[in-house]
Amino acid sequence: MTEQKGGDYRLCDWRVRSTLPLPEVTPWTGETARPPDIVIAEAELPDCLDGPGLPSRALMVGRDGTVLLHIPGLVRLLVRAGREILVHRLGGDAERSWRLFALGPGLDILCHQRAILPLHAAGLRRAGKAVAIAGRRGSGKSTLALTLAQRGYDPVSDDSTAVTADGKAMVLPAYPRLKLWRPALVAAGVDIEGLDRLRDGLEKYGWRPAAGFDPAPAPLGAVVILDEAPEPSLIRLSPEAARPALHAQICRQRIATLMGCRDRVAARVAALADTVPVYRLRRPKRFDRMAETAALIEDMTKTEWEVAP
Amino acid sequence: MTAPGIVWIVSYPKSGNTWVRLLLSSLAAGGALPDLSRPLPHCPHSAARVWIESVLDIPTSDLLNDEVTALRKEAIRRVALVNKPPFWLKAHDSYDSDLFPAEVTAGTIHVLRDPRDVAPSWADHMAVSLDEAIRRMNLPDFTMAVTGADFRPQARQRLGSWSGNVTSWLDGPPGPVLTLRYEDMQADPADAVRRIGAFVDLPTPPDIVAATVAACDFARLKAAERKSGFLERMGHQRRFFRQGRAGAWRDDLSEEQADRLWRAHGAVMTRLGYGRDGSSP
Repeated sequence: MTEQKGGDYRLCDWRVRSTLPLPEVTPWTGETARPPDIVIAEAELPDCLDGPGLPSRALMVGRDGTVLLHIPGLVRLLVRAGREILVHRLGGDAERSWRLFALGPGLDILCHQRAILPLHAAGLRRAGKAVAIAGRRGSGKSTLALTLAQRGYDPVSDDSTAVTADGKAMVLPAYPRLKLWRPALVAAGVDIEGLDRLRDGLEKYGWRPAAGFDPAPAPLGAVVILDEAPEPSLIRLSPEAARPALHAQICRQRIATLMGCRDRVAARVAALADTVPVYRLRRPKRFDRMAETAALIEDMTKTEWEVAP
Repeated sequence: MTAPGIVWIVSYPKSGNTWVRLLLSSLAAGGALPDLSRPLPHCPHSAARVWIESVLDIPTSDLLNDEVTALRKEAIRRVALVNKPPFWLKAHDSYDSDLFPAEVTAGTIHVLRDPRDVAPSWADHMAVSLDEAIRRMNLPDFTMAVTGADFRPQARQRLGSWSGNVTSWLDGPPGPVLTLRYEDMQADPADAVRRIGAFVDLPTPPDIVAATVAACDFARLKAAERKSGFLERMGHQRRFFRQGRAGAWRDDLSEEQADRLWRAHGAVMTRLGYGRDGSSP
């Protein structure tokens, strides 16, 4: 089977030229004269970098902030200068699964190199603004995002949401796909037949909304940080409380620190916390309480964003 | 023991591993009870994805079991290079020289408990019947936390049978080993604290030892869990600190169930001093 060719794509409002196909990403339809912002290419990569990063075969950071990420037996990624993701597929099912890492942690690292905050959040557009549903792994971001998508919100990112924080906070849409485990899909009434299984061996699928995808950046209207409690509640945090809460939601912080951008990340987080409403959403992690949990976010976005008649 | 590297705190599940970690954390804090609602300081679970991810800063949620295990090994090697001693790591796996490399190991604290007392606690932890827990304790290739049908917050762990697990640690690991029996710890907790302290190079003046023993007394832990919860409690469990009584199996197990465990593990139990009738030399 001959592999399809890559092409030019629109990812996080960048023109991405990839030698490998990115089927989940929107093709580039912007001006043809614009040179690519990012290049994704297959390459033979070394298994180590010379630099201050601590010796680990899984992760190395070079003196110039280049990052080599290595999932043993599967894939190596080299992310360089905020412009390049080089991909070395080692084996396993890397032929197709490499994108989970290049467009996951690889993209997070690229964001740090470009001074953009990768927020550990699912992004959804509603009424011209974006809400970021943030939380640690397993906190239920994607499941809540699916519920919101079923109620008319448009997903723009999953797992990680790129946010510009110099001046106006804007969400840069990646692609409209949510990664969900079978039990969450079943509970949401989604028919799994026809969904892409992300990896053989994992009951985890890619869900895409039927509606079209708008790749244009959207102002970040609110960040909602997920937490657990017996009863649902949505509370807006003070800027003082929002800063550490938001800081904890930045992806790849240890890598960013090794890259030497800790202070810049902290400054951007502080600026973001001062300008964007940050909420804490406490709720029981139960499928049968999803509707009332989603309703809290709906009420908030309606009150805050949609001007009352 | 002064070699740098990791001190492993290993055991079959429900054998007193957490108690030892609490004693260690408390001893290191001068006899204070650690906050049960937060991760135990210095004593992470080496199979917890959250720990692996915190060390490597690589997400594991789209990885297959073998890939998570490969990253777990990377995290163990990395943390041994980066962290100053003391650094203690918990594990329930059978000994495996690849997962517990000699070159990063300073020593091992191996905790043991009468398998007849393990079974009821293990059943409660896994939310299965006592018979199912006993069946799993007897399976030579029992493996837990296999991600596939759904997400598991821990890396896959090859436990083996109770006997296989215990003997792998009795015969396996390089370097100094401190073997503690749960029953002995309960009979003389101050002695256990002194031995643990000596093993990991923490001072054990009498007042600190007494405070540590008092802080980690089972009734105190139960009360603390009631008040603030315990981060390591399983979602389905009403409480983590359940009974903690040595010899409770006489009330909890039927004669036939006790017999089944004895038939499967009698040889190793005898080696450890657990008699068929519950006698302990």
